[in-house]
Formats: sequence, C-alpha cells, structure tokens
Amino acid sequence: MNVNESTCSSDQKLPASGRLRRRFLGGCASLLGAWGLAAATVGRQSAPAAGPRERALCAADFYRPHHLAG
Amino acid sequence: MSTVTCELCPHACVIPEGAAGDCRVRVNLGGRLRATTYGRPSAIHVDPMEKKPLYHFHPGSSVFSLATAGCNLHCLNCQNWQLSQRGGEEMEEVYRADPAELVAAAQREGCRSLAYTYSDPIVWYEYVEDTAALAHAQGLTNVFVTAAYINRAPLRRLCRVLDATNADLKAFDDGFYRRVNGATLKPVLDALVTFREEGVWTELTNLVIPTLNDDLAMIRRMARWIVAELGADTPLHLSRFHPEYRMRNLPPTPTETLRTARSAAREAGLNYVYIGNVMGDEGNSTYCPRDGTLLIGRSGFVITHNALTAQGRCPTCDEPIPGVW
Repeated sequence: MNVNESTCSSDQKLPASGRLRRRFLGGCASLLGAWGLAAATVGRQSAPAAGPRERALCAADFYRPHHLAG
Repeated sequence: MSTVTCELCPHACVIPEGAAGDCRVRVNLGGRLRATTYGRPSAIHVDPMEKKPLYHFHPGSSVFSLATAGCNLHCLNCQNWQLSQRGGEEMEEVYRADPAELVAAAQREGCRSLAYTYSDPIVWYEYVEDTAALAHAQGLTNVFVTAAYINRAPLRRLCRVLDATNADLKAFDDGFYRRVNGATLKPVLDALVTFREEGVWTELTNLVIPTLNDDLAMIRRMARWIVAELGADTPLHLSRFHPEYRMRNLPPTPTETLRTARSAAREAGLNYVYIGNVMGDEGNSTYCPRDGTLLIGRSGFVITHNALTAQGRCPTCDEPIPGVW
C-alpha cells in the first residue's frame, strides 16, 4: 500500500470535534517504525498528577532496577 | 547490563535493557523502565456508557473513550487484538495527545466522563493517572475498563482518581485464566476487592464461552463469591461470546445458555444480573429486586425507558437502587 504522508501521519493530532462518534481505526497505511522509541524521545508537556515526572519518554512507575550477572 | 523488574502487574516481568515487558509497551531503556505509549493513543471514540458496559453509572451519558496499544493479557478470544496485541510502533494510527488535550476534547464532545478502555489501561498506567487527575479537576469522572490483572499497591494509588470500573471476571477457574488469558485468577479477585474497598463503583463482566466457562456450577460459585466479597448489589454482565482472533472454532454463545446462567447467578443471591451482546433481551434491563418493576429498559446500548426517581429509587416501592445516577 502506498503511503500518502500528506494525509496519513503516524503521529496525528486529535480529530476535529464531532468526528469521534464513529470508528476510525484502520484506513491508514502502516508506517512501521515511523513511530517508536526514537520518536518517543521528543519532549512533551503534561500536567503531573503525583509529583514531577520525566515526560521526555515517560518514566514508568512501579519497577525495581537490578543487575544480573553475565 | 541493567535489568529491571516491573512491579505493576503480577507478571513481574524481568526486562533486559532494550526489551519490553509482556505488555509490549513498558520498555527498559538504559536501566529505567519507560511507558512508551504515554500521550499516544491509538483509538479514541465517543461511546454510550452502556457500551463499557456500565448500567448503574450515569446511564445514557456519553463517555470519551480512549486506548493506547498494549495489554498484559493475551486472551485467545480478544475482540480488540489489533490494538491490544501490538506494541505502539506496530500501530497504523497513533495520535498525539497530552492529558490536557484529552480532557479538553472530552468537554468539547459534551462528555461528562472519560473511559480508559479497549486495550487494558493498566499498561498505560501513568497516562491514565495524569489524565484522570486533570479530568477530576475539571469536574469529569473516570471509568476504568480492565481485566484487573494488577498489583494491589499501584491499583490503590490509581483508585484515588477513578470513579467507576467495569472489570472482567473471565472465569472462576485459575486453569481457564492460564490457558485462555495468560494470567491467573487470584490477583484478579484481589483487585476486585480493592476496587470495592477504595469506593470505586464496580460492575463485572463475565464473557460466557461455550464449552470453556459455561459450567453452571462454576457460575454459581462465582456468583456466591461476588455476593460474599463485593456485595449482592454488584452488577454482573453475562456477555455473549463471538468467535474472534484465535478462537474462531467455537460458536457464539446460545442465548438460552446466557439466560440459564443469569437465573443461576440470581438464585445465588445477585440482585442485578444482565445479559450482554444480545439485543433486546429482557436481561438487558434493570428491574427492582424488591417488586420487579422495570426501572431502566435497554435494547443494546440504547435506553428505551427510565423510571428511576431522581434519587435513584424504584418509583413503585421506593427501594433504593445502588449506582451513581
């Protein structure tokens, strides 16, 4: 499938008001890899709920770092 | 090599650097776990509340519903597998929306609630939490549609910003959870109790799959557990299975099976047992458990009749009907 980048973005703004009362999944050519970890490093602004979080690539909560031998 | 252990859900994934957990979206980058779908929903719709399904929470209202990719379960019959069984980089459509944009969009659409739904919002926990907090600040309510496979500590924290949940209780059998869902039963039961303890309005969905979890004895045991641990007024939705994803070999659930299961659950003590995914069935509607008056008539997701008083009581006998009206 051809990818028309002028109408099909892997990282789109929200649809305009009034266009959400129907399903719109699909219909967009796959852009595998266009969005991903690299793109996710782009900074974003968000309102923190429970203290400041690093949102450049959202730091997850609830994990425990450790080191494995080998 | 910095490995991390994710402590969000009972899988407790041990994630090497550069890899994702079982959910595909929580990734170890440089020894820090990252929520890679934060701010990047792949599905956004305005739905009726009845679609969640929530029947005792703002009936007839519109709910701004969203999801990102990823899930911590792998149900063989998943209805949204194109979304849930993929990582963010595999999605065809990804929107960019920070929490404030979502809340503003919900208000523009005339919604009084947001629903975190479609995939399992557990795996986009931080996005849910931030958005829900902002929604509360704007006077909106938050609905969490989930399979409830989450550890207690993160769930307790999240409950501070949740108002209602529809949680799956997929079967009352650990073996079923292991075979069909890639999960286990006990943490789900613990999470359901936590929702109730934290004051989140809770409705349950049990998808009845022919031959796999339609055993009446099991449904009775499940209903008795709900009565004992969550209360007899907990709404239970018995939903019809449709062949989907990797479970296309089984037929849709016969309506009669659902009706029999509904009778069994009511006999076990539940006051509000519904039949879902069967348009126009009498089990779509809410009846007064005291005198049988039809309170809210539904056909599918549409409310056809609403006789509840403004105070949420039966107009005939004044019985209070539990819910958020």
